[in-house]
Amino acid sequence: MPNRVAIVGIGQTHHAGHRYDVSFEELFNEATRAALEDAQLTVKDIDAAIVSNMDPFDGRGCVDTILVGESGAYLKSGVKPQTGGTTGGTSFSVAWTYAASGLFDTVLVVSGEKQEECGGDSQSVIMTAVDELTLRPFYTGALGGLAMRASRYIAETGCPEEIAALERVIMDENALANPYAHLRLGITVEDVLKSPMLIYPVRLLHMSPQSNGSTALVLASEEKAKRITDKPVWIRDVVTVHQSGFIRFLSGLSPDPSSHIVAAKKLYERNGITKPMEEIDLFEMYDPCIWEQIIWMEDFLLLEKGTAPKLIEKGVTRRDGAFPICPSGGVVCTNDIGATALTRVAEAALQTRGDAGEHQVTKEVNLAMASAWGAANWTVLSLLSKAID
Amino acid sequence: MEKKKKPEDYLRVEIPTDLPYRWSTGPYVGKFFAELRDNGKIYSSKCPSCGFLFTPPRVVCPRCHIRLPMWPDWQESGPKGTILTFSVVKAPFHDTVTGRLRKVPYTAAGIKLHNGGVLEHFLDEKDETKIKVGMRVEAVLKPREQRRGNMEDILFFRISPE
Amino acid sequence: MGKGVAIIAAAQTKYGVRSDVHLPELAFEPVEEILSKTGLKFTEDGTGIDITVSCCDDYWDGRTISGVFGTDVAGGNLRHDERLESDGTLGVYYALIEILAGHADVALVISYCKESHTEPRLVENMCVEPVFLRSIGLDFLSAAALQANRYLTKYGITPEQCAKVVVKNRRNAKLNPYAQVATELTIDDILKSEMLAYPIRVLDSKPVSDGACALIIAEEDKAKKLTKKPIWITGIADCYDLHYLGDRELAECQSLVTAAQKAYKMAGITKPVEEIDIAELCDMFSYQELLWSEGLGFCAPGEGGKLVESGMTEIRGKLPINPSGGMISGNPVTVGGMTRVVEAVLQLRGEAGAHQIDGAKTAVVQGNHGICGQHQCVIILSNEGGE
Repeated sequence: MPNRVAIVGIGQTHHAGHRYDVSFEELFNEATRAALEDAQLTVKDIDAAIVSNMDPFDGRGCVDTILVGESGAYLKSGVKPQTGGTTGGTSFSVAWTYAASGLFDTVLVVSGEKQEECGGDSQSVIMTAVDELTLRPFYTGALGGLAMRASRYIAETGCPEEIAALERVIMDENALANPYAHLRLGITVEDVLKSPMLIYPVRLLHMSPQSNGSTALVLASEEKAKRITDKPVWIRDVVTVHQSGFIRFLSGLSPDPSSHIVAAKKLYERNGITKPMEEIDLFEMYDPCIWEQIIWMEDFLLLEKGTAPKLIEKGVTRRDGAFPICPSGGVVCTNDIGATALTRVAEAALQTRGDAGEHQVTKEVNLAMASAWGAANWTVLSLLSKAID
Repeated sequence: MEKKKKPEDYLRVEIPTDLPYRWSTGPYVGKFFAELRDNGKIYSSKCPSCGFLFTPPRVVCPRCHIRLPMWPDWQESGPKGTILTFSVVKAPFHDTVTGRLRKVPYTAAGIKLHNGGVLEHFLDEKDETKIKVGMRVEAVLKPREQRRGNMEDILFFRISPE
Repeated sequence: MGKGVAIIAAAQTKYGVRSDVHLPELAFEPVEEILSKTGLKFTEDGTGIDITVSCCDDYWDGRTISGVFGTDVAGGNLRHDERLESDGTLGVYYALIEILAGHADVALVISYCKESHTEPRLVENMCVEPVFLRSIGLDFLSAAALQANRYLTKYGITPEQCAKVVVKNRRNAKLNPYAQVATELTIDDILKSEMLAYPIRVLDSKPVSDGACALIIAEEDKAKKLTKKPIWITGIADCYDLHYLGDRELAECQSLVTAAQKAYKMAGITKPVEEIDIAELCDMFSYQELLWSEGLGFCAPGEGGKLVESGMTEIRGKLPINPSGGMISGNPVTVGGMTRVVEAVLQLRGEAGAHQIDGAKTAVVQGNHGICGQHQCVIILSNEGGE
């Protein structure tokens, strides 16, 4: 029986367009202190710190060594996972593994990004992810791939733009109820439909913003967790599936299935889930673009192509719906890349604990799922549970 | 009420950063570029196990995890192909090679080469109403004396007239 | 530790400037070798390799999410493939942690880096805090020089004693076919070489290097089935020091002392000099072998110079340090720590060839990451046991 681990502390900064008021170190420290305070612990109680960001967006390398003072890693163990946008999810997976190993009882994980400190623009930086010899001149950052996938989905399903606009408004309504979210706009469907076109069919309001912020969690092994809190959020399972460094996948030109589908099937099989939309209560999805949310809903939930638009129309994905998606507002409202995937876990954990305040979903939450996405379509899929078994 | 602060109101440190790189092309991409430069030919290599075609050739098949064949066990591909996907880019980004903003609009495309794999490159057509997935295209190369042994030796792919 | 974890295979490239290959090809070389040697495949059903852990670095590779093209090499397509931005020793540690957590039984661990395709000092400069440290041009060399000066001044260590490390290690390198620079040097040669940053001279520092390593690590039952010579990880620990040089006592290495004490305790080692047969340390600069020796408890603080003068750490001495030639004979950062593990494994399997230390049973490996060895990792290996 593998060692069980729970989330015992959750903290995040207010994710914002600008955080000029703090230094990079102070930003990470804000989230760290928030998580420790939530757990009612101090840095003395931490055995290891997993610290991460997505390097070039902060213009720094090896931030785990730079943030030692602020993350509580001084004289402790730790490592810096590095998987692009997936980083927050990978860091969670690594921290879970640390706490399950028997070598560390209490593990802090903190991820963040201060994108405003990257003087260029993030899309340019993302282009350095592709092969320097043969692919860079042609790549339009992450945006091009998203646009190509979205236009193919529309061509195959006839999904009208209004569905994307409707779902974007639902995300905004969620963000308005989430004081930590970045974009809290009060927009209508009309606003979304009129928003400037970036690359067909992706409009400005379909895309996630460039946010600054940090999120932290405290994890503890079973016995410790039970002593620290009476509301531990148990980590049922975490599945990581990467995909070949053919960024072509982002254009949908690979014959392989998406890592989402492979990860979802693995997670469900390992945990005896046969009807994900019935057995899981909500999904904090890493959705960098509202079109991705629609397409990937079908991937992750193993639905037939073209099903998602109907579910959105029926209100299934709303906070008061049968299967809420991104009750926090999701990534289209907040994207501080290094933190983003960890924020998905943090939000899923808050919901499971019943502590999401105004943006708490209406239904009871026993099992929550969170995804991380990045790089060449890499996936980390986490399952959190209120009950230990 | 406190006046809302602007970025300029905060003390900041600015450091422009140039990081130079001189990447080796290696035996696979190096030979691909050499053939492109010297003979105007585009080559692909095929995984002996799953049959997937890689353009340009590379060292390992990601699905089978075996070393891919080296030159001369490659197949000549293109210069004709069909458009698998495309995107006309209108928003300028910084080019990481020059540090300057890219000139827009430009069209990036994924092209399935005749007798080859999928190659990413430019199309010379920049009006999206005139481009359709499935259209036939042909590579237009720079004249021999201008070719240097890199992807720019192919200028773009031109849509073939019907 | 709950269960035994052993290294069952190891491979490395010859180190040097490799303009003939693109980075993924370099990374593939030891992977191809190790898979061929062991016959293991990437599987999902527990009959082969369960996960891969890679250590690589965006800034050294010149691309963001640098692991992306390493995925193919690491067998990461549609599989669990972990990426760490740290020294190779941390990759080994993480694979062990995965195994102890019960998340995997067999792990491939790889590390790769090509320093020659960029300007190392600029890349290192990116890895220090920008507002205070980057603007004064701090990089691994200038930081090491500050540490070296403090260390030499506080304890009266001499440049000659530092040079002796280089003489010893470059001579050892002559017996190691994988080493990059193998030369017969005199102390004078080193003291006459160009001064880079006082007190560190050209020959006091490692050359620019490219290379890659691969290891396969397994839980004990599988390890015993996969090889007749499993090398057990009997102790392992890591520790972070503070980042700002002014916050640290540079003449000591607090994080190494802490990591070493933890690792020795795990391995049941109380007298390192008596109980350890070989040490492989990351001597990026000559003074570091002396300082890290102190941190590892081979001598008292400040006695590092006397240690190398005693001859005890020569290849036929009582406690040979860096019989492989060490990092000073040429390893890239990020890879250096894993090279030390590969070398220790070869020694404990009796496969080190001309630089073999006969009868070696227990080895200590040290790797580090960050300026002046900020993040230290210590691994104790043994060819006996298997709980």
